[in-house]
Amino acid sequence: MSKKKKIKHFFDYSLLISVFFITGLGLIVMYSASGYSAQNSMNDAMYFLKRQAAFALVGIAVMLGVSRIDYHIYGKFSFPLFAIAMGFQVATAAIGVASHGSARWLSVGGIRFQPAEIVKVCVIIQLATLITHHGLKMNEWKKIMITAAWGMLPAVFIAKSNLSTGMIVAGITFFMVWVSCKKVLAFAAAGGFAMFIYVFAYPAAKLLQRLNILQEYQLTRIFAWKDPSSYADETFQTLQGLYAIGSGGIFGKGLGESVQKFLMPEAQNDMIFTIICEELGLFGAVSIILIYAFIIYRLYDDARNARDLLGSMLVIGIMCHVALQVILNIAVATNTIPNTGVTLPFISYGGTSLVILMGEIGIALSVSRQIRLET
Amino acid sequence: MQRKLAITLGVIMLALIALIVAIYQLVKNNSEEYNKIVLSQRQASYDSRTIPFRRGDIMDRNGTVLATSQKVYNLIIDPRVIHSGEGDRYVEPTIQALVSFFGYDENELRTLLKEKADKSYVKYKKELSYDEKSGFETYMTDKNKAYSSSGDKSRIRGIWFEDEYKRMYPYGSLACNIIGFSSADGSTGTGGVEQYYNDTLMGVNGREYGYLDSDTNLQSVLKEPSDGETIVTTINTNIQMSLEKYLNEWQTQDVGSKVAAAIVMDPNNGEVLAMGSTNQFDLNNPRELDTSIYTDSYLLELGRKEAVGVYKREHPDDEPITVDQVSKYYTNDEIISYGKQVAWNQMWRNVAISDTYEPGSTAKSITLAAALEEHAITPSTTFNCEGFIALSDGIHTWRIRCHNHDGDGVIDAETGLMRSCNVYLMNTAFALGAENFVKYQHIFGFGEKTGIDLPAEADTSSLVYSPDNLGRTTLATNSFGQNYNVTMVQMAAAYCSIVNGGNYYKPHVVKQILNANGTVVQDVKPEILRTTCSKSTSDFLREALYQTVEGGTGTKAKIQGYKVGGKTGTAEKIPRSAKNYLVSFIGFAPVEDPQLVVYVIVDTPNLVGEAQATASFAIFIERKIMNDALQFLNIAPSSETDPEDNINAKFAQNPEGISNDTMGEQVTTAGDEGETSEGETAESETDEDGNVITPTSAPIITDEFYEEGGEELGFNLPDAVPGDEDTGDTAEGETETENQE
Repeated sequence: MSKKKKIKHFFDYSLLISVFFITGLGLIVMYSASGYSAQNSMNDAMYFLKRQAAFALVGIAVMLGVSRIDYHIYGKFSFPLFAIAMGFQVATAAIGVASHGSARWLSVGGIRFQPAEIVKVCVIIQLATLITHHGLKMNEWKKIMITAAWGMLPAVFIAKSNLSTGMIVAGITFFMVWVSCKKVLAFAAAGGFAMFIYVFAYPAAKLLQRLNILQEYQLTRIFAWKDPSSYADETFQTLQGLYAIGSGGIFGKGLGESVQKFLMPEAQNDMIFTIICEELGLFGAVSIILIYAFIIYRLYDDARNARDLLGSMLVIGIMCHVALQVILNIAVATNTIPNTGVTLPFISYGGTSLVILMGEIGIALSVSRQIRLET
Repeated sequence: MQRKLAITLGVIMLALIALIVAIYQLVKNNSEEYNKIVLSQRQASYDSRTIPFRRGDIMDRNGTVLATSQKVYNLIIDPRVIHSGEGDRYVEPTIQALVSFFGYDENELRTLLKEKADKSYVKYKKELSYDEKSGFETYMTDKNKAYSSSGDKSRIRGIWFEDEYKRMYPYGSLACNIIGFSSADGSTGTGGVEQYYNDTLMGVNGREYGYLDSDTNLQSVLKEPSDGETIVTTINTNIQMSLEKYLNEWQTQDVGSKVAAAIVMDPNNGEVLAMGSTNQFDLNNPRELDTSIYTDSYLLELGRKEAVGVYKREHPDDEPITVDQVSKYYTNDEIISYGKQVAWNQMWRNVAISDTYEPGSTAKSITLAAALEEHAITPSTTFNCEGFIALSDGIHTWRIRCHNHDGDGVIDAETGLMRSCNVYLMNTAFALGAENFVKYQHIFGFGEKTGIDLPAEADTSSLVYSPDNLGRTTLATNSFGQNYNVTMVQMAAAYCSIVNGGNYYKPHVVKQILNANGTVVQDVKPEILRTTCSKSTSDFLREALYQTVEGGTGTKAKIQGYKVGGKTGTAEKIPRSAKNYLVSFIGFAPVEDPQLVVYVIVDTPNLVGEAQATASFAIFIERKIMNDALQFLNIAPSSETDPEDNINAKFAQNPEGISNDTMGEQVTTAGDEGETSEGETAESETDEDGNVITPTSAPIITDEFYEEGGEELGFNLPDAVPGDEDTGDTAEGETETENQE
């Protein structure tokens, strides 16, 4: 017993501090980006700031609370959680609240939230549980396919109404399954195929149009991606984002000095990274990316050192989630990929996303808490 | 697994590095260009937009709107935006939309888009209605939606609408001289109240603009325009309509004249109730010239004269050019445009306040009033009229005649006025003396500006004599209203003071100023400028003028049921040799408590020679205006009125035509008489005060011309004998009776 007492438990303070830090920084830039439109539409420049700060406080409470819960409990309730999340998602499709074009919101007891965000975390838990359950059997194709199906089916379902979230769920599934088995070639082939699509999408679209197989409007998203200035109507946001990044220069115009935020619709949401680039320049953008890189590295470290497979897989899922959102968001902002709505973790305005992400970090912290330090 | 995890991390880190590279590329390659775009966009969002003010309305005294501003929309084309689409994908749909919705000319639009491709603001059509504007906007949205859903990348672009106000004059030409008109943007008025009260009618443009506040947030600020104030004039629309109707009848269905004008005033406060002339123009199209009058050749003629003056102004040092040389220096189009300017100014001229003329015998009341005030004569003072007065300066001798060549005999002041006896008035003026005569001219406002609140009031200060150069002969002719010039409003205002007990009110056309919400911000109080004569003088003249209508030269002005006073005037125009006359009548009613003064002048009736000198031309117009005005103002008659004079009955039976026809016959008869025999012409003139002045050599007053005039005009019949007058006007009297039946 006394031996046990000597065991030192680890707690990933670096991760916690980094998340605090980036959330705080997020509030500042979010205020700068949203103040103008908040003043115009809500008559209160601090409207979005106040709400986001409230969400951040809730998120931090959730994070600290979750970090104290033993993560093994999720393994036991993974399926009910998954079922509830999918139930929400189905309900959203049926009775969801429309905002910004498609129904992605669900109102329960006066609280409005995006069920798709909940699906993400539930898929991570479900997959981690399944992978842990299968153990070494994960090297069998049958198990791989069954496990992957648990993530891919919800991804396809979500993608119907919310393509970007579907992609992220699919991406998380892909990476979690890839890490859990020993197969390489198939995953490399899949990755290669994705790269192939990425590189040849534009020429292929041109070809399809020329052969009259598809009409232009069906391919607009792809054409507008490669040639935004010719599709000024469709790519107004993208184009303004590029102007913002370009005009920011190396050190930016200074915090609060953005001009594009007056023009950019919903500057506090998906396109907030462009405002960061404009105000803080390349320097600020790289700094933010480095913070994300550090958070991802910390998650990687926690996953590597996790006490068991479940903890490891949970953290891997969380790491993939954060990484994919950061990469996709910045890629959209820089027009590296076609426009799709992905929020920037911890910074973009949005309560559900922030609270869920904080909760995920809480899970990661709870995993880190059970790491035994070798003394 | 550890290895795969590391690979995953590696992929993620590589992706992040790739993104950093992407950002770096953006910053490095496009920083300058994007900065420019951002700045130009910022400029655009800072750009302020003007919100036009609404020019105040102009109303008549009862709130009838005479001028108002209506919101209209200008269609603005932005060729730069239209050309901005790749492959001109905005051009065709936009042109097609404009052509199919508005029916604009396709080729014109194409040319415009080509020529002004680099412009961003082309005002293509003005004054579209709200329906047209919103209709097109809906059409545009629907069409663009249809394009979008069918996958066509064509769009209607670069068309927007700008707010503006359009000035509307619901009554067209009514009271055109009093109201005036305003420029399209409502910032300048031309003529009338629109010009004189321009600052009051104008508001201040609003503005929508953006600025950066202390938190460097762009704030959009809307500064509402402040609308102009509304002006309530003293005009009575009904009386104004009657006035214009009767002037037009005279001009188009009767003898007609070069110009005829009338003014109706309230003698108790100097308010102008109506004012107008035969020079009318449509306030909604003030620059539209009547091509039947202003033919191209006439415009060229006017333009040539004007061009001579223009050349002189532009080349003050050069030799002036003659009318014939004009074509060498100016193109035909230029000359026409000069001609048009002259024509417009002729058309817009407010005869009642801008034109001066010799008043003739209507001025006799003023001479008498002055003499009575100065006790130069008393009402019972008598002079003997032998038909003329002989004046001598030692070298020449002139005989200035009365109409009645046989003389009126020994008459007192009242009879002198009733008969319009020149000799009595000349003697009165001699008794008064030149200094006092001139003093009273100024007291009664001659040679002064009345200060009426309308632009372009004529300056008559040099058109009356000063005591120093007012010789005896000129004093003599001045005594009965020749050889000095007045304006109509001066005469009307002077008579107002004579009949109201001696208070000279400043004539005015504005009664009240209201703000945009209809609250009174200013009440224009009647302003007494001075006292012209005493109550007793006023009473005497009222009675004498009443007698003039009852049994003197103005009997045709009688209106059954009302006591009407008045005075005729016949002035021979300069040059006297042309034998052109300006006849006039100024009447007031009711005599016991005058509420209305109506003054009518008829300048150069369309007849030859002395036939023009028929004051009844003016009397008939005055009588009709007065009759209508008395009824419009509900002034109680003192006795039974003639039902035929009732305006309601007239409207019901449409007797205007009848009355016009008979009038026409009657006047034509008079005209025929004038043409056939001078003697008969003289007869027809007998109802008027005889005008014996005829110039011979000198342009203005040489006594010779009086002598000549005296010789030429054979006044066989006595002027002011009632019996004679009745005989002379038998035909007229009868016709009138017929009218009334």
